[in-house]
Amino acid sequence: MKRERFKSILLILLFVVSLSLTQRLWFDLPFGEVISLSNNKNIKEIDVDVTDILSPQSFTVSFGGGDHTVFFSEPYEVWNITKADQKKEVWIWETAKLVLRDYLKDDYDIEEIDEDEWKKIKKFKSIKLDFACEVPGNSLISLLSGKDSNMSKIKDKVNTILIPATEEERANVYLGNSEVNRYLKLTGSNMNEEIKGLIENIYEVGERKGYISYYTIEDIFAVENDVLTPVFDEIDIRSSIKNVNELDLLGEDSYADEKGLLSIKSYSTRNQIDVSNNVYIRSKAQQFFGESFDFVKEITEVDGTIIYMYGYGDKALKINRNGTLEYIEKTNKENSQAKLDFLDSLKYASKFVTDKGDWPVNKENAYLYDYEVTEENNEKSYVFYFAYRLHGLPVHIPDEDKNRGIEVKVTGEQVTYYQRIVRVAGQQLDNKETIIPSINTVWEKNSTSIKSNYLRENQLEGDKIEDFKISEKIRNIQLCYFLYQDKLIPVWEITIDNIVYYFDLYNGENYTSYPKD
Amino acid sequence: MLRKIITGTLVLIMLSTSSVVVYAGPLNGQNIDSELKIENEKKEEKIEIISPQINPNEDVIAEKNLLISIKVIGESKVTLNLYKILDDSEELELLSEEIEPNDELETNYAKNIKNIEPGKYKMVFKKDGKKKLKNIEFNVKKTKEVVNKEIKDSLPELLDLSITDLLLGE
Repeated sequence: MKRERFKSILLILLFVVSLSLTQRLWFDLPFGEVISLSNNKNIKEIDVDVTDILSPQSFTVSFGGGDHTVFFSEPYEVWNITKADQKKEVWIWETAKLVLRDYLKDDYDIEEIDEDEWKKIKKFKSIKLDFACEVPGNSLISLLSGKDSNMSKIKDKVNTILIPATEEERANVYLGNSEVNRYLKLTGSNMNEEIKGLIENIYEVGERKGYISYYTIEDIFAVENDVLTPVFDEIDIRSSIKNVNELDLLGEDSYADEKGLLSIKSYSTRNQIDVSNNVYIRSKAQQFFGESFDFVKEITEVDGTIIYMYGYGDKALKINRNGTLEYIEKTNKENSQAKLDFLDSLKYASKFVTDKGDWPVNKENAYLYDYEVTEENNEKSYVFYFAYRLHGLPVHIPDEDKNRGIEVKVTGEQVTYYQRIVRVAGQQLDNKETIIPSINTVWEKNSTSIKSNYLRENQLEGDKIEDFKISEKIRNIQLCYFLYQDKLIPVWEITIDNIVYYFDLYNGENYTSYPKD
Repeated sequence: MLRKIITGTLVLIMLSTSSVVVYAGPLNGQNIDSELKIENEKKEEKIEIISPQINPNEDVIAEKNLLISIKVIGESKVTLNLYKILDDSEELELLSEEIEPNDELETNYAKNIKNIEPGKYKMVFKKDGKKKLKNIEFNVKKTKEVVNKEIKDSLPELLDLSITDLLLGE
């Protein structure tokens, strides 16, 4: 009898334990559907500041008098300034955000200006912020001003903001879209002198630490083109007038090397994710599957690719041997039907990346590179592409097309796809060549192929080759790091007509070229 | 008869040969010179200064840095020397560079001169480092200096105005 009672009690206890364990499982799987904890938040619960990620790709500082420089990351990154107070003095995006917030929260008038007026205003003392892609104007204004995006008077897409620092322009801010050549002048309340102070600080620090001077294509090639290009071949006139030893021409952490020549170093590099490190890979996978990791299947393929799968492909994580991480999640009908706008989707994407391993280097060195909007089966999706910088320059991995590092697809209130290909910089490498030549060297080596490409793309006859100058067709010039044979090589990224070229910064050799999107 | 014909033919041949020698012999000096001169003209170096932009007053506006951008067409190397002309007319050489000509390139030479001070400067171009091709002088001025001068120049000379001019606003 006692034995029977003991068995009954044991049975009841086992029954209760199995019920409670099942109930815990059902907390994550109501009605049998799979939703990750971190992917199941309502938009109102996501409190993320996306101004860091929706930040400019480059900053053009015009000191006035035809003197320009361009930074492809914040100046404090380039100059290796770590002290908070010194960092703040040259922090361009942070200063610009504060100034724009105060300016945009008040009333302002909008007037469209022509390209000639835009070109004129760029020559004055100013800061120009260039975004990597066209951003919805109402979203950008909403983000900067804190007002509702529906209240914004600016509906067009924007990819550049210019904030003048002259007395005559104190009440004006300029927005533009260089892709469609449309420019707007905002006239509102007078701005304080923070931008002017910022430019003066950058100038002073630049005097000590060095900066690269930029001139227009027109200044160098005598063609009508105001695209800026760096001029590395330089001489400090003071060294000719005074004894070099009397001058501190090289400040600490200067752009110049020990010979006083402008220098941008190459670096060795490796994948951020090492697929052979099992402990690291498993901990990475746990970030994606959370508490349901125990129910995940692990598959290792012949080529070393590791796949983690939950359910019947409801969630899958794949890490291949070159360090590419891919995560796919089946759409959840309830969450995917929500119609979020650009900013809300960006918040989802930003939160997801932060939760799943954070940004390469840090959030300040990442930025929105491009985005797409798609709609399928009444499901609206945003696909965001993020780029990142290493040692002050953006990183370009060839054959990855738009993906400069991180790709996130947000469908409604759910992240349904995530891809990450991130490289980490290693040792600094010595360059074979020590002098960075001017852009003429690039032309000397590549003018024939560039012209041929132009004729082919535009379906022109071969005899037209003498009829134009390549320099007229330049649309953009910037510097970046190019991944080549496991090294990060500094290159010219030059957009000529509709083709983007990558030329070695030191010897002008062409690594590759792509049609521009 | 036959002898006369032969003699006549011989004389004809001798005369025609000598005339060819007279009129088609080595060129005289004048012809050589003009041909060489034409050759020289064809290969004469052409120098185009793209930057700095020098206005009719020989002024160049430069706040701090100055870009020198040159295009050279021709066959010989061109040497560029940049001098600062000091107060006592002494010339201080700041830069000496060789520029290779290249008809294909849109510009052959570009150099950024940093920390340039206001004052008089001179660019001297020489062919193969010897023969002077071009001499260009210019004055570097800062933006403020130019703006202040314009303001000053636009102010009316009050001493030249009579009281009636002032009252009538002329």
